[in-house]
Amino acid sequence: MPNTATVYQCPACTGPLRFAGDSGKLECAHCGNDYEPATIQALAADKERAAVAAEEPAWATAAAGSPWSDAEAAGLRVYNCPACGAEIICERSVAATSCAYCGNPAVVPKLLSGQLRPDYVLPFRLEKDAAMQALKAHYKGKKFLPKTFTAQNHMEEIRGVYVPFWLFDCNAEAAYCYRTTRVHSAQTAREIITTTEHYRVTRGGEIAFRRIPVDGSTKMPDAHMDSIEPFDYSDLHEFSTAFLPGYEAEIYDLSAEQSAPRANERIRESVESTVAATVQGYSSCAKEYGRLQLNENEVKYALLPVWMLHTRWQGKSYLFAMNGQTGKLIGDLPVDKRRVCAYFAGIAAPLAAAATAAVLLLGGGF
Amino acid sequence: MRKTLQKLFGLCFGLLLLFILAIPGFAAQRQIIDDAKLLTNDELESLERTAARLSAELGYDFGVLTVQSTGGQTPIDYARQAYDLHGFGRGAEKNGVLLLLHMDERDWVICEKQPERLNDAVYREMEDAMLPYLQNGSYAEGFAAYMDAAVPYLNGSRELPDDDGMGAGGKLALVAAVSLLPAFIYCAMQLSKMKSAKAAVNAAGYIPQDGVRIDQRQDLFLHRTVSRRPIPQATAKSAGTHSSSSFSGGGFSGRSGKF
Ligand SMILES: [Zn+2]
Ligand SMILES: [Zn+2]
Repeated sequence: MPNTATVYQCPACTGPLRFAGDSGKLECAHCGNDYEPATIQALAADKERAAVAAEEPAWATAAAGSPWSDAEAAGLRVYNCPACGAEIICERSVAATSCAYCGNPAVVPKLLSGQLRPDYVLPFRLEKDAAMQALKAHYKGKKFLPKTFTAQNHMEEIRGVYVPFWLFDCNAEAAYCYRTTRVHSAQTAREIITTTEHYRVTRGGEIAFRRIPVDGSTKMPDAHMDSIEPFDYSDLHEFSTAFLPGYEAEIYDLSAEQSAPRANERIRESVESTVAATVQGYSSCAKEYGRLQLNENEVKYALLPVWMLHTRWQGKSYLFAMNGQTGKLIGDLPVDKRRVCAYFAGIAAPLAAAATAAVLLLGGGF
Repeated sequence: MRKTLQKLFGLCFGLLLLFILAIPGFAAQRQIIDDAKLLTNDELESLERTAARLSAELGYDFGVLTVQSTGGQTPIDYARQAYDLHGFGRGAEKNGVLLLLHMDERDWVICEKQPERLNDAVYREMEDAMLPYLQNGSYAEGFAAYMDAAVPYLNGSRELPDDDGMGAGGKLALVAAVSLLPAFIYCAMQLSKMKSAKAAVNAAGYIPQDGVRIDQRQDLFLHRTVSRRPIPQATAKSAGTHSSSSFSGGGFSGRSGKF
């Protein structure tokens, strides 16, 4: 270090540092601080690392799914919906009637070719009745739901669909660096003395993630699929067409590569908060850089059970989805603006009258 | 021998106190009690005359009591007790108000016997009138200003201002807040029920048990910076930003603060 030509800056005041032979430290003539050479070297390395843009972690997606065997393919039929582009697989003996996603009745049969065979399937645990009950319960107690919406709803069109999911597995190796401070305050008769201690804090380790589900369907809104999580994977089976009868299986239209960024986002968020939680006892903490590498990563293709109802009301489409295993149901509902106004006025008006009366009685008028 | 003397002395003192309290005329003569010696004799006499005249005209006593120390009592408690002890107040209801200055801590208390003939808005006017004088040591002028500020409300030449200091606008705002806020909260709660689809932001649910291993930890001290900031002295005296608060209870209402 002393014989390099690099001029190191003082971390406290950015003044030039000079190597002092007698102490073996780097000293700042400007502010009087001194540092171990190793500390300054670490800080210089941090700067370089922080300057490197974070790379999107790469996934081994090749292992997801497998080709269909000819025998299996022969027993299946693919239907394509020309209106929304959805592709559905069902048993050859079953004739698909309409598109589960958009309701279009004219679906076109197609040959099964090029698509991957799923690795796993999670069987339905709840029947159609349960889905209808759950939807009725979902409408209950919703004060702002338009009356005509429930009346014109087609409950009988609730359909069981195996939704294509990519399951992401990895051990996320994390290396994070923070700049932190610890602030002390002392008070004399005349002044307040604030001492700020600056630290460089590094944290490294590994966090495991198992089977983060990301749906491979553009028809399915991501928010809907995220909201019916979690699925109970203990019931996950090796894929077999034996699970298909009675249900439809959608074919993914987002590849594992295309779905990976959503998994990365969720992993990064969890890693950052988990690692940051280990930095304790400081007054402030700012991230200098963070590196994330996904080791032993693996992607699998699975079909997960979802009961869904697609309905149109006053020109807008509404999609309700229920976890076919746990019964968790979600779906945004339309709002009757007149009902909102009526409720608002119904609450505000009597209160305003009472408050006015109180002011007039107690406060002697306005 | 010594104990008997003490007892005798205590008895005499008690009798004297009874005597003082029993004669209203006597108490009325002393409305300005300057134990902290802030006034000259001339100032004391002049204020005493003013207070006596107002007492007769309005049926309402203006008391002033200055002390160096309250002996550990809160200024408000001290003022309440002193009001009765010194026999302030006119008539059966002991109408009147007392201004206490506690010099050690520079506290002031305006303490009016209930039922009040003034209100908090007037106490504030009295405070605003007297505080500039008290702050620069012109105590006689301060005491005169304290009385003058209240007189118009007592002799009926002015109506009592709104007690809560809230104008029509404030009251309208209150009515609006009381009525609109619950309606808004209810509607917002109901509306939030209509939306149930939300994208997931993290993968916390997919970390297995014992899945977190953060074993590289280093906290390296870099350097220390020290900053010194002078404490602003005597902020209370600067730029009229005094703080005061109202109180009510124990048969009195009033305001207190620092000068
Ligand atoms: Zn320096
Ligand atoms: Zn369709």
